[in-house]
Amino acid sequence: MNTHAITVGGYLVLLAFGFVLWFTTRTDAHPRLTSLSKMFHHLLRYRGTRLGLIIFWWWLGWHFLVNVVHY
Amino acid sequence: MQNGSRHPVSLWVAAFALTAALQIFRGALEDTLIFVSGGFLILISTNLLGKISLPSKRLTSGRSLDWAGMILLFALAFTPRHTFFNLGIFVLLLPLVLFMTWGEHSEPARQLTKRDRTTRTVWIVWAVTVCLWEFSANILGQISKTPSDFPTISVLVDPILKLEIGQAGFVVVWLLVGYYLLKASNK
Repeated sequence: MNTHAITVGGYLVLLAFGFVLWFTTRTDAHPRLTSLSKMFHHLLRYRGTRLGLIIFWWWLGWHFLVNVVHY
Repeated sequence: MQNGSRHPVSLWVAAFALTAALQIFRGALEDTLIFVSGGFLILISTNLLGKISLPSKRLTSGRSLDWAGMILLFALAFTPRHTFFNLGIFVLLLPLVLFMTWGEHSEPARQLTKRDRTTRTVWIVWAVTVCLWEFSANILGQISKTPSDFPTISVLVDPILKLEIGQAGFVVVWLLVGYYLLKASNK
């Protein structure tokens, strides 16, 4: 297996884990974990989190729509 | 991502500092400036500027945000990328979204429950792992001088955006996330 496949495989495993985590907690019935939307609702009460997320969101758009990705 | 009420220095500052360091390694000056300035703003937003209040509910509660989203959709989804037009839009957009997310309070009156904190930790571990994987790919790709052998998320996503449908899809998803963040930040 080459390094390209391993790198892409790592992203897919992490994506799948994130999906499973979201799916199993989405109804907010899990005994130890709250749902992702409810967690965001709580965390967005912190200014640091609000600014961090919105700056990162803005940068994502900037990165793909304004900057040129070199590869 | 907050480390308690006694020392309200956000973990976001550490995340932005780490990302800025990677941008220096990449030689990306603009991205370095963005993450250094962003990290500094987050740092002072809870300390020096912690008491400054910018109520913006009236901007996000009505239909104005919907209209702004529609204008941005048509301006960004169906026009060429990497133009001065796009640059202008993003330069104008940044202060507006910062104003709309600043809000009235730097911290909530009620602290998180144990269940919320556990959930936060699990998602932070997941996000940090994604970032470390991406950063490792970036560093290994540059050291080996074969970026295609260690593709970053940008390298994998950018070819999709070269297709018109791919660019439109990206803009729709990106705008929906921004719309959610602005609405949820002002609830």
